[in-house]
Amino acid sequence: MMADKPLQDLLNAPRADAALAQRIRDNWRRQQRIAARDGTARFWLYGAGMAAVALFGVLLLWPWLHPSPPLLVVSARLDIDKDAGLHGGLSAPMQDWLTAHAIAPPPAEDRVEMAKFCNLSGYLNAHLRIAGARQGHAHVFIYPGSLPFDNAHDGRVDGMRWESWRMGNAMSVLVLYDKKMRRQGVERILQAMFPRLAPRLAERLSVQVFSRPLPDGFVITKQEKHS
Amino acid sequence: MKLVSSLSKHLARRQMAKRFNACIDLHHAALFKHALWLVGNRQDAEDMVQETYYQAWRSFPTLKEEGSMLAWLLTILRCSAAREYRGRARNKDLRAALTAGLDERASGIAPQDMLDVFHALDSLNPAQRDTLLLFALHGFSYLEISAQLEVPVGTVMSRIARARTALRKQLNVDDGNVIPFER
Repeated sequence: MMADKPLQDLLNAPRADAALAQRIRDNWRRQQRIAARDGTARFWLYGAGMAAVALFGVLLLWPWLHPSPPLLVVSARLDIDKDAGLHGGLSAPMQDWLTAHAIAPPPAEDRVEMAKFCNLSGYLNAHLRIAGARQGHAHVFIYPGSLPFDNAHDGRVDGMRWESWRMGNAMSVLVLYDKKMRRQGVERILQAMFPRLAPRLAERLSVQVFSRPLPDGFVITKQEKHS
Repeated sequence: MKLVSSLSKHLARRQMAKRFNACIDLHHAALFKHALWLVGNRQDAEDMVQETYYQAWRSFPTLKEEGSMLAWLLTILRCSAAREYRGRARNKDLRAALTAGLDERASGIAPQDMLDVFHALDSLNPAQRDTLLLFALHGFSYLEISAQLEVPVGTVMSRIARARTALRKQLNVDDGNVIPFER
């Protein structure tokens, strides 16, 4: 039976533990620390997730961004390595073959180190390794006909740059050159050997000058990819 | 500029933490009592208070009126923390839970009375119990309770009247002075 104490006093009678406030404070601080740590972990996890997604995207787009070179070009690149040890200059049969196909020899300052016939994916080509006038090497593959280049005109293959040219159905030319060889050097060789290519060579190498004025004598050039 | 901004943020946060600390000191006992009358278990009551403060801290920056702090904390306790603990097994030794730290002689309160009141409160429906505790334990006015519970003042008054009648019946009390709700 309840004594004659007001209900309010009764309800207020229970005593909280003296250390409760301190425990609440300690736990609150601990939770804050954990939340901060979790926030940092979440940030890094989010970062890692985004990086993984970006990497996946790059991997997915890689084949489109960097199309693999045509099979013919890969064969040519393998042939270059295979014939790296061959020398002998421009042989008489090759010279006759070039003359027969109305192809002039390269300029005198660009020395032909090796010339031979080779089979690239079933197409019999003439392969000339030409040392640049200053440095580097260019490899010119000539096929008296139309070679399938899968609509690709240039690109990179195993450390070398390649370009292809087609002169109607009568002749196809594939050039691979290393990093030491300048594009202008390659152009000079091709102009000398295939005078018909001259206007197209100039066309493919377009020049862009930045709108910002440059110091006298400086010109920034950029090679454009033509379809 | 960024340094100034982060410094001012840091200072504001420190200021807020200071206010929150004061809020813990000021209201933890009232919250504990409320929780204890709800669950009858000291450990659970302490956990409820802890959880209430944790949830309160998350919304603390949005709290505009500091005057309504206890009402706000009680709303959190009632709405979210209590939901978790409702229906849990009560302390087997309910008497010890209610009377821990109580000086019977000084307070003149008999442990049996506390047990009786607990059982009587337990027999009320939750709406009546909440209203009665806000009124009799924390001393809120009808109007304040009406605002807290988002019910009309008339509803508050009728809930208290019904709770009073139920409690008298439960406690076998006929004398109106035994449960003086008026302060």
